[in-house]
Amino acid sequence: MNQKTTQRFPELVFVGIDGILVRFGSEVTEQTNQAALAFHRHINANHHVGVLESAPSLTAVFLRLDIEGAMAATLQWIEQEVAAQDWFAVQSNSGRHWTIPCCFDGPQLGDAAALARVSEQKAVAEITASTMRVLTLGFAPGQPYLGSLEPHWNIPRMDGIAPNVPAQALVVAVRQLIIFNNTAPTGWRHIGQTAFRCFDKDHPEPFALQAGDVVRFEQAGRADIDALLDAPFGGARMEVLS
Amino acid sequence: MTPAMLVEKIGPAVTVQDGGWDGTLAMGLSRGGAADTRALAEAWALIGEHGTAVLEMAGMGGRFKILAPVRIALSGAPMGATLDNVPLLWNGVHSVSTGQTLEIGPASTGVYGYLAIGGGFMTPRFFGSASTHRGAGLGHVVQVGDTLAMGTDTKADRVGLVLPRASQNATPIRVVATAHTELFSQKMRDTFEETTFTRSARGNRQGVGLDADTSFALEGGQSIPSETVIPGDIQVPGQGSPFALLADSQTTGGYPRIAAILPCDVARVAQAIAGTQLRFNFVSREDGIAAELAERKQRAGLGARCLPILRDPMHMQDLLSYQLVSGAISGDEQ
Repeated sequence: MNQKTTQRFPELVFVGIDGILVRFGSEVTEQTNQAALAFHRHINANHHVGVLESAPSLTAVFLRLDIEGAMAATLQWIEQEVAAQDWFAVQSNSGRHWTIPCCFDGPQLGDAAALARVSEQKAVAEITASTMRVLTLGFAPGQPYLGSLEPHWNIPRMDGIAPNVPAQALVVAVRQLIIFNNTAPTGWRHIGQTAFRCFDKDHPEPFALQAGDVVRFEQAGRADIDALLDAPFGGARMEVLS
Repeated sequence: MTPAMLVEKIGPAVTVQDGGWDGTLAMGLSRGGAADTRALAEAWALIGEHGTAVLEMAGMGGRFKILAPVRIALSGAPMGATLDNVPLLWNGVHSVSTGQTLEIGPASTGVYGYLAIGGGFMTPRFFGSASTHRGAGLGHVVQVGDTLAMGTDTKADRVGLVLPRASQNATPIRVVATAHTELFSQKMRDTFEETTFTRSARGNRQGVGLDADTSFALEGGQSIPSETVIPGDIQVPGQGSPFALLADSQTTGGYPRIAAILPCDVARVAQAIAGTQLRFNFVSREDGIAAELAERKQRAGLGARCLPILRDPMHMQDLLSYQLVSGAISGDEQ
């Protein structure tokens, strides 16, 4: 047995009759997420007839297989591709850099800052100074999981009944930020308001973000956000840097 | 596009659906589409057109004024349909004239009934599907006053047929291992198979709760990272009460998942009304694949299994009481 096969990760596990999850770790880290995104990009770039769909999550890649095809050969191909490179060593991003205006007046900014043991002012300063990355899109259409804040932001989700947050709200938990696309209940703490629609079915590019995009937040006033509600991408700017 | 029917009355959850999306998981959009894919296949087989948009009626249908000569097909949960107050055979394809009134009542058993129309319903599409996903704001929720349009009917002569319904299946619902099955002890998996669950009152196109006296909570289960979830997965939130995910499920989730329902058995869970007792039985992945492939083959052959309605339903006062088709069909025939 070589060193690779003695390690637990990457780990393959079946999901139902036609799914396989390729896991790169059990915790969300820069490394496990980068590995998952790199493997997802690789699968998309190297189309295999037996793989119908590939979707990355925070630490894994889900592959949907064609059960009408030659399953044994498909499984063999996947194992071979998983073993083909050290996915943890791959560093890349989409090259797309977003700047998203946000008003940090969410009702739970105080709670969140207290849990992170910083003042509200410091909390906003830290978040706007952080370079975040889209770890994955998921839960709802186009909705980004953004990571990662500094370790002291590893604050838990709320227990109990989760209140609704408004559409385009910025929420925080477990070192991550999410921009909600629609009003929805969540256990994450509501800290700010953007005008950024991550999913707009009527837009030529309905899904604004891609996994691997770089995102920064810029502080804005409530009036600025209200004025940006109908602006393209809610006033967010995107640059492509190679 | 021709105006086909005016909606005069409508149930609270009538939506346009088709087979849903293919390849949008990476963008956070689940497969969606009809909650009962078998009933959708039957509607398509009856109408003779595959892939068209149909109406999915949860619990209750509606009243529709017909605006042009159309063909309609009915499938899924039987709902007591009438045409100008004359009973209309469920699981049949019928010809309807301009000016007639189609009324579809509450479901007598099951949850989701389907109404297909020749040429399909013409409503907005997203990424190739007309399916309605409320959380995403996609598709169309049918409302009173809507004029629903249809496309070009390609099988105008295909009317007066019925598709024999498969007999009620009382066997346990088949599940296979999924993302976190191995984290549950063998004892808990055995208990899962031995438990009779009750379909809870919490349920919609996203998923349904499965109540039991036993808790299936996994020790430390809350710390599992969010991973891709699929319709059919049975997740176990912190309080230990399983929840089966359906067509409009979220695409990622951090709750441990004990089992995945075979795609061909998901409809039985979707169609279970609150209070229905459900049992689950683990099968091997190989047996699960074989069962799903057999189901696909059977669905492909549904069109040929449609039989002529033996009498003209227009001349029968209590149509639903007639034995229209002889011979029992178990649902296992090819």
